[in-house]
Amino acid sequence: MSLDSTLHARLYQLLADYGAKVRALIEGHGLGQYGIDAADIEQEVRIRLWKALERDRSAAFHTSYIQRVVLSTVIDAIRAARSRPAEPLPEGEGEGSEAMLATAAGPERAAGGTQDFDRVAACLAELPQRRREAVALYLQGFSLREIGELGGTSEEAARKLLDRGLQTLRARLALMGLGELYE
Amino acid sequence: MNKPTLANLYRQATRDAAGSTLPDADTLVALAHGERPADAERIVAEVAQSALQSDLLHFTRALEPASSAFSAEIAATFGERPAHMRRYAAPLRVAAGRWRNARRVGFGLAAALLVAVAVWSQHQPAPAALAKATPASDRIFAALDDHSVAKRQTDEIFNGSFRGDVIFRTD
Repeated sequence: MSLDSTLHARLYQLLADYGAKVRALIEGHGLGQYGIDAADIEQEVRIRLWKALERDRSAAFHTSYIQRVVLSTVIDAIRAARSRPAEPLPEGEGEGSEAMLATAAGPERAAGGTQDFDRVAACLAELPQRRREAVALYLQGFSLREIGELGGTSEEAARKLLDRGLQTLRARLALMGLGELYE
Repeated sequence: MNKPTLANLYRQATRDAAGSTLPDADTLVALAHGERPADAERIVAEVAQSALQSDLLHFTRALEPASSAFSAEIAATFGERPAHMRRYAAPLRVAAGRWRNARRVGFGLAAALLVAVAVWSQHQPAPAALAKATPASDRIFAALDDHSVAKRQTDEIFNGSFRGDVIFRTD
């Protein structure tokens, strides 16, 4: 099915604008750390959406459908990146993950990061399940409203779960000599 | 500020925690829209224990406004509706809802009428009873009645009172 030139140009522009936003979001959310390239994703998303538009012009492009197209592209790319054999990083570029710990907690902490995490994980495991989940989601960067939605509770209930969970975690970390993680 | 250190440690340690498990796009979109799938507890637990899944969920949520705007632009482009007309989308939806309701009422009335006719038919006498009830004055098939045939006068054409043509009469 061919599109007339005016419509073609309009759709091309819309896809270009949307692709640029997708690319910026991928970069902004640091998804590159999972081995994907934002420019490649942008191209692939534009191709997939263009094909869908050509296939069925009358189809309604709902927000959730567009999101699924983008997410499928990202997930496929991550899966492909994982299946690729690991390549040695060029000199000076191996600072990503290690540097994050070093910057956050110093070189000693970076060296003993795994050990520290094991102890944090042990403290978390002692929390009641709902508090543990609220704390874990909080540490993953979710807001109180999001934690409430994900847990199927209100924002207020999520706040209480989180407060109690963090208090307990802080006390246990202090007992283990990891109180400085909170400082 | 105490969150970054602990959060960085946790996120770093859970970066590859989910191993080869990658979330499903549909599930992530559902979660991003505030829906809870059937196995939501397991999925949320996985999200909490995986930096990758958490990042993808954050990304999905952040993607929504741009995707919504893109969806509206596409609809406007194919629908030949200029951008300033899009605000009428909601009233149109309301009107469509009213039309659907009116249609539903119409279908309901039609169905009720059909049921009433069916019930009325059930309460009518059977065909045999109808035959008995047929008045004697119904003469549609009266011609088949032997008595009436016998009583009828013969046809005029073959009644034997034939008179010859005048042209060939010799007298």
